[in-house]
Amino acid sequence: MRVRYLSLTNFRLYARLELDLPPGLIVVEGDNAQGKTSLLEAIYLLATARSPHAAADRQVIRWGAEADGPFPFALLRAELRRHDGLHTIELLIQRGEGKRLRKQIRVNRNPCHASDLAGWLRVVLFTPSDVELVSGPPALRREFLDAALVQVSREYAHALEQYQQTLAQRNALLRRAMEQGRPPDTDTLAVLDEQLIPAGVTIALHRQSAIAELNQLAMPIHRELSDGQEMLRLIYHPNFDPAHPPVERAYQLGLDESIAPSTLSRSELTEAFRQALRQRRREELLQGMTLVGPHRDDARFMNDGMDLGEFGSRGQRRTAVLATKLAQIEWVKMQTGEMPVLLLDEALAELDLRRRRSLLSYVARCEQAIITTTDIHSLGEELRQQATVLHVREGVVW
Amino acid sequence: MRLPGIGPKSASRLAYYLLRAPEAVSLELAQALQELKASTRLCSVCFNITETDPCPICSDPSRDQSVVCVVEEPLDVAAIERAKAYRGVYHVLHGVLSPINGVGPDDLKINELVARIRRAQQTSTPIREVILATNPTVEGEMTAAFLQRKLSGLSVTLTRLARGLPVGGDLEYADEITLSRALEGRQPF
Repeated sequence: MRVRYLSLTNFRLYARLELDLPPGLIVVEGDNAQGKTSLLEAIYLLATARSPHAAADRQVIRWGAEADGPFPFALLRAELRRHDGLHTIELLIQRGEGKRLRKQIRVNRNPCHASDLAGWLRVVLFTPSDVELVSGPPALRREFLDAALVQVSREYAHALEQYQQTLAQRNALLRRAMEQGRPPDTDTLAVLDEQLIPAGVTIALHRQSAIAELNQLAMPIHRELSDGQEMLRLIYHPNFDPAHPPVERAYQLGLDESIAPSTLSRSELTEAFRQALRQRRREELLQGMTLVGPHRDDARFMNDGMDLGEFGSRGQRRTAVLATKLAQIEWVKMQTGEMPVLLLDEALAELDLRRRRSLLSYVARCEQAIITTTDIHSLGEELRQQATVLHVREGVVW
Repeated sequence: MRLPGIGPKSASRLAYYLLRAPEAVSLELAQALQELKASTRLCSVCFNITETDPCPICSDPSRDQSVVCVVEEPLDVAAIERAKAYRGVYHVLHGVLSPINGVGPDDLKINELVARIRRAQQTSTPIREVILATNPTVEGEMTAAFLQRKLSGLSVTLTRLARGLPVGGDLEYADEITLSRALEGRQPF
């Protein structure tokens, strides 16, 4: 699949952009802070309905758009060419009452839910901060899994939306009860639990199999990148897995691979989640929030039995992430039958020759790949000749 | 003051219209607004907004008093009435459960519903069926599940509105969730 046309209104520093995008390799060249990354971000937002850097959602509407009216908005639109024809997807982000942002979505001109946007356009994003995926907080790994899964599974996207809304209600109920110093209404809590559990279990099941599949695909890629020296394993830690000790304790034991990732069925996970909620009930009431569930999951990158997040070198972490992201490309193809669009944000700069070559072999197989760079000469003659080059300065592209 | 659905442009258009119109128009409007609150109240049976108590629907002898359709808002009653397909009566909750917005069971007409069912059981026309017609949103589903718990001890049949394909819709354009709900809820034909 590929993006044929992109239109941005009041998005970041783009007041108005209309851009035809050719197939193949596209190199976007420009100095820092001119709008290169925003271009990739717009495409990523249209694919996942979420921003690649979570906290930045508020500034997506162009500074100065307030002049147009009391409720400034950003509008992103893309035309896609897929195996099943042409499609238009649209995301409107509007500031409403207070600081809240409202998102409105249209697919082929029909309004729909946020979870219905996912899956029309599929992308895999490479950025210089990817290495944080290994060593950063668990939230980054959950975000990676969520963004990957919503693009291939509508069921996941829906369960995630359901889960997040229910979780927010449940947290509000617990917090209010704590503040008022009396137990929450038991029927309301029970009803929320009954909605939280199936959605949470659907999320855990998808994450479990996605990690197993990504692991399968990443292993040979990683072996090649590391000269056959090292063996990568991705391990999923569902927050309410009865077969695993909690992650914190596992570190102290020096987690080794003899603890194989367990494969749990829906009924086992449902029971485990229910029991975990029961066990932590007192604590939840004291702290006024939900303490168990997939919003507290983690996944770890292991190398020959060693936790890369804790003990890996920067080079090892970078190789592990690259292997995982390349595996994601294969995985999207496997799940959907179509190659995703590759978005590479300054991603070649930090790679050595061999890793670069490996990444570029995937670029060659995709229908479309967009690379940003500050220095076009760093890309090499061969690559420059294949590519369509776009220049960006202060939100203008030519 | 802000009215829902009226932006700054519509507001100024309305204001200029009233300025230019004869005085009688704005007086009539002012009077209507004043009466809006003064002459309406909630029906003591179904809690819909009404000018007479009980409301015209509750006091209509041709309506089936043994079937009660539970809805979130008075506007939902109007929507179902427009369909002209329902001959039972209503119960308006005046909202949905939402801890985020501070709405608990006591803020809704839930206890009133339980009492109404109990009361009817003593009479010759007990309530047989309660249709849970809250919206298929997270809050609406949560409220329906809550009602299910509250009403389970009373001998009434609980039903939920079907979810599925819109009439005149196209299978090809239906989203996966709607389609799978429609399959789950398929009927003998």
